[in-house]
Amino acid sequence: MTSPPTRAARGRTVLHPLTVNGETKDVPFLPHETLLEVLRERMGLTGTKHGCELGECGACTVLVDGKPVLSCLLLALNAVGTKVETVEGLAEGGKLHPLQQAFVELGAAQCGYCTPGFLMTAKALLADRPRPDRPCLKDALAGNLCRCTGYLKIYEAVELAAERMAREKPPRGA
Amino acid sequence: MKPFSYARPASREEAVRLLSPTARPKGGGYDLLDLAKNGVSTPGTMVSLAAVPEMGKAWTGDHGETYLGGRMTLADLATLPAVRAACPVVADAAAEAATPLVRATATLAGNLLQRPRCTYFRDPFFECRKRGGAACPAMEGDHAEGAILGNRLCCAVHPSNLAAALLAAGAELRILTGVDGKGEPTWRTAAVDPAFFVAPEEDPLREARIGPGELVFDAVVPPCPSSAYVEVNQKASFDWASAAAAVVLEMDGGKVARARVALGAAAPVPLLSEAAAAALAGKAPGAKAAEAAAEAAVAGATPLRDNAHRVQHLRVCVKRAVLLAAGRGR
Ligand SMILES: Cc1cc2nc3c(=O)[nH]c(=O)nc-3n(C[C@H](O)[C@H](O)[C@H](O)COP(=O)(O)OP(=O)(O)OC[C@H]3O[C@@H](n4cnc5c(N)ncnc54)[C@H](O)[C@@H]3O)c2cc1C
Ligand code: FES
Ligand code: FES
Repeated sequence: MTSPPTRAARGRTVLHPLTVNGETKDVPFLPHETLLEVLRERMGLTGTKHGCELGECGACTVLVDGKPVLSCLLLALNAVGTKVETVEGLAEGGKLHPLQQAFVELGAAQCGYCTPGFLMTAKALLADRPRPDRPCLKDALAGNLCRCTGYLKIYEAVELAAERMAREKPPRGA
Repeated sequence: MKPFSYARPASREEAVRLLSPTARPKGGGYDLLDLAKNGVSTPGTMVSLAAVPEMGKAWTGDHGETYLGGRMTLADLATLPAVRAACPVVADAAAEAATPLVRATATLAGNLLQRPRCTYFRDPFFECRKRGGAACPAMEGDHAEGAILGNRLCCAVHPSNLAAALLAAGAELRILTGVDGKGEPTWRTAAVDPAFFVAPEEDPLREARIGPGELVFDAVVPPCPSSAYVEVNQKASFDWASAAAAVVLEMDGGKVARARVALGAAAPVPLLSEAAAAALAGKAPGAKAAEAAAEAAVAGATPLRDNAHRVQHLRVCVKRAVLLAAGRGR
């Protein structure tokens, strides 16, 4: 995989290879552009939401090498040479990801603005801890804010998805 | 955001060579980018420390001291068992900061050197002493989250959890100052003590005594197993501290031989409360001594019109931190 550039000059738009949802593309952007701006405005991936821009709401959460990051405060340059995952990459072959399916079934999204961020944070959590208990789940999602649902439905949806995913992929040794 | 250049040096020597008053080192970048977006600071170059080796690790020295790399994340500081065992005050402070999403990226040096969170400071629409203005609008305006100590000129509280913890722990920073003629790095050390922080009376434009061309390589923390950091927040899930206390106890038998009590989110700089430390010296660290320390810590408080609640919050933090520290390292 390409390593991140070591220098980039102010005001110069340069093509950089970005790997998003498994596909590598050369994307033109300036050194001061955030990953959020590049995803939405340069790549047309508007699933990732633009909320507070301050690191407070988590609407802009994407995964960088599997780790949830706030794309509004990350330079796109820092994502070169990494694997970026956004909400657009969750569904496979027209089938919703178990997290998305559970959010739909349990009504864990109302206006939906926070949903992509929650889905990405939850995906990283379940990769790390397939069956988190409620306190662990609440703690992991504490950086994602929702103004509509009151959170309960979101916790229940993540738990339902975790249960289904565990059934599909039993733990090693089981 | 005003355009800037970017550099990603692969060594500490290259990193320090690239720094200048207009080139800022970038840890997580979570504070730098926020300030750049609202136009409060406009660096010419961001020097990313992501590829500088050694700065992302913790290790233990020959005398039990812990070396904490300047770009270790708050998540690592909060969770590494070695850090928790040797200096729980640092682990607590990191764990209490921000959200898991922020902690996964924000760094030790970036947290220590982040700028205040006062709304007036972060909005160039307002005049602010911290941006060279002649007045502090928060004095008459919204200061519910403002300082209750040292607030004569400016009432923006120091935002950093780690600053209070490192102050209580008596940590020392190892700072790279440049490279000599042979290309070897030059160093200085700076104790994280009251003299490291800069109060508004001396210079409102900065909070720490560190030059623009300097790089915090790591923090060396003496072993302090009987230590704790406690904060009080308005919201239960995550919030900036309404008050915080970092306490380190040196025990002799069942009594406190020496204490260091640092107060966070209380003043424009983290404060070491000599009075609280004196209230603990020679005492068994039970509820009575903890309450006396808490009372001593807030004795000089000068709350503003809308933030007297923070005095009580600070009392509570000191008391709880003393009791928690006393229960540890036995
Ligand atoms: C929603 C939210 C809530 C938060 N809550 C809290 C909280 O409760 N408590 C708390 O303490 N913090 C809190 N923070 C701050 C956060 O923890 C980060 O510490 C902070 O954003 C800066 O960390 P950083 O590594 O991103 O620093 P950066 O933005 O990279 O840097 C900050 C400053 O440090 C300088 N710097 C960075 N590394 C070095 C180095 N090695 N040597 C010299 N200078 C250096 C930079 O030049 C810059 O001036 C919060 C942040 C957010 C967004
Ligand atoms: S938009 Fe990034 S945290 Fe709110
Ligand atoms: S569903 Fe509206 S903000 Fe969460």
